[in-house]
Amino acid sequence: MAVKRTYYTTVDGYEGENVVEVVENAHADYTVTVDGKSYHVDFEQINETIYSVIIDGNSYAIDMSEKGDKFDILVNGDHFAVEVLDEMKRLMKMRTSSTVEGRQVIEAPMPGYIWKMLKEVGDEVKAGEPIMILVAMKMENEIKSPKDGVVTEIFVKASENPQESTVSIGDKLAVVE
Amino acid sequence: MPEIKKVLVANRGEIAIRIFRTCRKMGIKTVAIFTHADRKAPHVRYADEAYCITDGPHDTSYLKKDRIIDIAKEVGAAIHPGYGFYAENADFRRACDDAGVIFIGPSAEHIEMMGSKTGARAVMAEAGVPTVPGTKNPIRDVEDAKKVAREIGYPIMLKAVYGGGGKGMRLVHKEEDFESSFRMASSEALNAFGNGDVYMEKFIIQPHHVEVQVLGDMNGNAIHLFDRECSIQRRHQKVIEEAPSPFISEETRRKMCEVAANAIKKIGYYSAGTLEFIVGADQNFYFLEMNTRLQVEHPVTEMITGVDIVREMILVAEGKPLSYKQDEISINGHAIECRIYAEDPTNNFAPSPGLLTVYQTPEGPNVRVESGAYQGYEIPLYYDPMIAKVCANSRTRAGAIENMKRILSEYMICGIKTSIPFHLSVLKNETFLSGIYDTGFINNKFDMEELKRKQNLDITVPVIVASIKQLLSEKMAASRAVTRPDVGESNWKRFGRMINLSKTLG
Repeated sequence: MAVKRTYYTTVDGYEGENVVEVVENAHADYTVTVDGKSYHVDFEQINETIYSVIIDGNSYAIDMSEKGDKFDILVNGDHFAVEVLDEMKRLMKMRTSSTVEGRQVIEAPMPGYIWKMLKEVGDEVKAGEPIMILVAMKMENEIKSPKDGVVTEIFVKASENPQESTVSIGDKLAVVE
Repeated sequence: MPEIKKVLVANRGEIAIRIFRTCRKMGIKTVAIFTHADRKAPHVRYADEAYCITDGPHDTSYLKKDRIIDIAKEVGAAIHPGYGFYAENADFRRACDDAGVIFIGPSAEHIEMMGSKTGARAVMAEAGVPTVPGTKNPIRDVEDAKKVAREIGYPIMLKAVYGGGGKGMRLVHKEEDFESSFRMASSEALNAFGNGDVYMEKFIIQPHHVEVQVLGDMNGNAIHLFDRECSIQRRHQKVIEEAPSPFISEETRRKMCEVAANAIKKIGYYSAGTLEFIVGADQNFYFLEMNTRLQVEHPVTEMITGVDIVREMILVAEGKPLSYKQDEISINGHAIECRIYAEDPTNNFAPSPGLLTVYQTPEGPNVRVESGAYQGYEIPLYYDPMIAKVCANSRTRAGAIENMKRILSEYMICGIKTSIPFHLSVLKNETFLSGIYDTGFINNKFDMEELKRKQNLDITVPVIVASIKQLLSEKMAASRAVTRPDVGESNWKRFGRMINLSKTLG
């Protein structure tokens, strides 16, 4: 049974939206229509992030990583950040405003260790003000507050000994309300 | 000096392997040192002997002077410092001398001499190397200073003597502005550094960073191995280097290289070194500083001259003469190096350590790779993000660029982000291709030009690929939801939200 979906895609840095219809004919065999133009696509995943994609006879080696509905894609060394939404998600996105409000959980943007704590629970912070410093590969990275508010929780302890304060990407660091 | 039969490299990663390679070729035994965090690093396996220098996993530092020298003494090895860590550390060199361990590098005196920027400039100026014109002493009298500025020629830069970070700095284009600029720079310096002293220097328009590789021995011989262009920099960090410089004229090249070789001969420098110059748009060149070590970018020089710089360093440390005379050195073709960093160019170059799930280095002709990684290796958090350097060469610059594009397209790395996409976009950039780029290029112009280039790209392929992936992910999520109904949000909640949503949007 063929699976068929309609998506709305946007690419960072490019204007407008594309309407994409994907039909799965068989395993790895797709017909994709982008803004009314159809392509035949042979799509195989090679390993964790590398894909072999043949579009109407043109062969591409593609490096892709997925973060929710966002896809980081490398084609011939060029990077594209593509967001793929179905109709419902698209409506929800249009509704939610982009301003930073309410309780903000700050997560580690990269793996590293917390070298220095600059704020304590209860401290007032301005948007953009650093709360702690995360060190990764000898580089110091300020972890900044996304909004004006008060630091209500801190989940990590700073230490100059990397073993004691290592964090993984996405680990909760602090909450600003 | 006795013959060197064993070499300990007081370093890690790709540079340790680079030095081991020459040792292995010369029939010299190799010794690696490592920290607990680096137990599985590839340099440990490459070496004939390996010693741990840390007490436990909490200690990640390679700066273990006494222990390193003790090991070298015990196993009878000479020490090569690589770059970073103990390279350019006069105390370390002296400690080696005291322990009777051969240090493969310059003398402590020369390391010290070049360690101070102002000291180095004074020494080099005396040895006949042009330095950036200006006053070395703080300005006391504005009228006198104006006279000097007129002699140097505008534009000039006023700089705080105790300054840094751009504070207390003023660019002056014409004499009318001198006095007010001087007053502002001085008061800014006073506020920021507690001292209002300001000196002046000629401002070099569109500066290029060009350096000359030199080699000297203990028998008074000194040669140069021509120049490298290192103007592609990001946050003062070199990203792409090439040899020879596409910018300087033959006349400038001849003068610069001669001056460099003569200067190190005059000061009696031995081992490998690099004189860094700033070259203006007018081809005038001025000495900046001298690096008394093997540099990351030395392979491009090796590729165009055919000289193994590490081999020469070892021979010189044994007290032997250099194996080349100046007239045996010529430029053969063009070479480019890209430094591969574990960082994410799409996320402001944030460091990206992690597990390399796929790691395939490029192959084929005209390629040289020095890599400190392998598939299955977890790149540690504690060290430099440079994991490899890749070089390409060809008869011409255009050919070397074409080769490099081909080579980088074959470099497959999964699990972490790397700077490879950034390199590829530089290699496609028109200003870079023209060969006329200055040190401000990446920070000032590159992003704009890149944006323009990217706007003309077709987004159909990424859109198709992302959409198919999204469909597959949704299918996978759906099958998971069927087998594990308790995972994820409730379908009722989702249904309710959809109903609400359609109401609010009418």
